[in-house]
Amino acid sequence: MLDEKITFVTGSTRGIGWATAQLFAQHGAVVILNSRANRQLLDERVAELRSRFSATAIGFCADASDTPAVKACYVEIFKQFKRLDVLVNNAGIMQDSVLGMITEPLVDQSLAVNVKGPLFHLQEASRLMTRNKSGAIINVSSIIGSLGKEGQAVYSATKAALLGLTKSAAKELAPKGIRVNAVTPGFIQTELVKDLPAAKLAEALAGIKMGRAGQPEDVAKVILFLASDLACYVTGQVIGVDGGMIL
Amino acid sequence: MGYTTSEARLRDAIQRQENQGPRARFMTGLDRLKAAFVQALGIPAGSDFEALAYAVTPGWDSVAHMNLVAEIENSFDIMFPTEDVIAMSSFAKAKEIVTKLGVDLNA
Repeated sequence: MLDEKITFVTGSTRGIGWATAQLFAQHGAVVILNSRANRQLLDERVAELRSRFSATAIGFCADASDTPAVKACYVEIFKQFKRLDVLVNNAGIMQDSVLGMITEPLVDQSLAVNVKGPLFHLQEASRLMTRNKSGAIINVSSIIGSLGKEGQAVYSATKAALLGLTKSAAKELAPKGIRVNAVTPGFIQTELVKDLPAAKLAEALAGIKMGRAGQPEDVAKVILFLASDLACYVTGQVIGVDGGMIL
Repeated sequence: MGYTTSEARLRDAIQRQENQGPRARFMTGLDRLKAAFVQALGIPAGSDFEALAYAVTPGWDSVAHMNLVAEIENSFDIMFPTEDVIAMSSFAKAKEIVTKLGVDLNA
């Protein structure tokens, strides 16, 4: 489905990003991985894609909140590949706090990683994609961005921002053949929720009509669809991957 | 139609470039830069290029600007840093930027 496509997945050494990178590699893509700072894990993941899927894979260490580092990724992508076909804006952080205890550093960091980073990734990626008048960008938002949740006002605000970014970018880039969509994962078994207290976990599961937490692969499959030519007429959409949590 | 020899030559070069792709090597770098402006902004080949300016020249708005950047990048196989995308406000500035990025406008 992605034969020879040049794909870049941010935050792709764990969770949804790693599941997506594996699926992309399995489907023939050239995969550019990214970690904020874990060079060792990044190299291990690159090696794994090469050995398991015979994929062409490389890795960039770049913090999404570091705009010069983000831009440098695309200079390197241009040097090595001259093009980019798919960007998955997956890198993100989740820092919880009730309203009365939100600090400015928490807000600044969340905005920097979850909003500014994806925005500049999208900006740079779209310029490379414009050269070929084709491309697909998938922003990984969250069900929390759509519905909100007590104790997660900041995270919710940043993930909601991605939805506005998705729709605006979709309108602006459609004439250039670039599609922009978002996924809103529900309760997915990743590092972000592994330390959740048992009571909170039970509460979350009780709200899922399909009766189970999602797996990173469940989200990766939808991202694969949106990245592929199967979704060639899909843009500006927000697709929930939540097992009926939103119902 | 009253075109000067140089305008006619540029129009002919633009048509040949369109026929052969954006990296036709028979054009000088300067001709290719002019061709990119003609293509992206929809201006006549005989325009006063040195007078062109962003948000002043009719049709050179932000949307056309991004198309122009893409045309120039494709013509010369270069990539503008974002600050240069924003700074490229005139034909003169475009010459300066592509030269900085390694393009020989005389070749």
